[in-house]
Amino acid sequence: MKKSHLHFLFLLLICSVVQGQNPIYEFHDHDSIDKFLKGNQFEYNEDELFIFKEFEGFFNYTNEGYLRGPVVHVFDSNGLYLEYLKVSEVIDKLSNFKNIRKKPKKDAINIDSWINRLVNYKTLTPLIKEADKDYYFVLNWGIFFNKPHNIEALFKWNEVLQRQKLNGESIQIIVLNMDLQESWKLSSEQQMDILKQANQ
Amino acid sequence: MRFIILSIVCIFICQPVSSQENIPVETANITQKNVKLVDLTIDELKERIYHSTKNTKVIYFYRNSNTCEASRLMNPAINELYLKHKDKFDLFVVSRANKKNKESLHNYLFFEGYYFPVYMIGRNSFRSMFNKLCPDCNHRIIGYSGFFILDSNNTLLNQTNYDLSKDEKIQMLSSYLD
Repeated sequence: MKKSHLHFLFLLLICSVVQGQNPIYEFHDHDSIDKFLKGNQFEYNEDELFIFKEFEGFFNYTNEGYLRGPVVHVFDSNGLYLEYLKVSEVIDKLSNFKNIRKKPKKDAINIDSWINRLVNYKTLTPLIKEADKDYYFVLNWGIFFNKPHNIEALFKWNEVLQRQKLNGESIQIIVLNMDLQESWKLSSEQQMDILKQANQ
Repeated sequence: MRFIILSIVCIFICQPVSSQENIPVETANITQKNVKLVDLTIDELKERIYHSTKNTKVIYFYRNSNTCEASRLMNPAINELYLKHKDKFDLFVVSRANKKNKESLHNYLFFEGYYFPVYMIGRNSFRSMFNKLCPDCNHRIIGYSGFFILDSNNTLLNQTNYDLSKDEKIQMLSSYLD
């Protein structure tokens, strides 16, 4: 066995002990996402709901450590990463933006590197970054969370941000569905291989 | 491909999914400006209540939903009732938060989309609150998420108690709004 494989196996063991979750992974398309959201009566704007354009984009995102949720990632007016909001901070920071971290770290990533990977979940058209916004919010969620209250929480945060928009705040909201996508056009063998291992 | 799949599986399992409970609320177009948070003394609040000429006056004891299970159920219901019937009664939502907590309370009200007016009277005991606001009430059987109802002459019409469910409390209040 290669060293890198051993490394991942080690991580796998550690992670499974620490988290103890029971997520369920499936491939989804816009119909199944709509069905899930409507079935659970979550309010959402179709124009703000995005997925990864390709498997590679999803893979890079996971490798960079951002595949976590429910979570809100915040970027400043220049598109630089500020912070992700912990559950305990969400009320104060989403209700009052002055509580959000002011300055990005020196090595902060730019939201462009994410935006280029994303497309609308229904139309598959590329995400366009709106110009001159004070903040950009990326809300991560997935049907695979398998904890309905976590998804409920995320869509409530979305509601709060929608209210902020109505309040005149200059923001762009990106609701990012992180599920595996049919639109990636993986072969059925590749899909089955992924699901088999992910749902073990 | 195997390497990629293995790493994906690992990352999937590593995701820290929180266990935060969510409180469903209706989607409201509430803005920061709509949040009504008034800072006053208990005597000033009493004056406001007693000067109201509405036939039904409801004094509701508020606590943030994330710290009180009964409030988690009642606060949204009171908010909904207020939005539907605010022309039929005066609602005085009383919070024992002090000035130091004003900003966090303000944030919380906005976050939850609560429109009702909240009066911050500071850390008064329940007993002293009732002695001032409703001497005829039985303060031993009421707490957060409870309320009492006065008529236009400030006579006690009814009050809740610990044994009532959310639905029973709402039913009681609704019966004075028809």
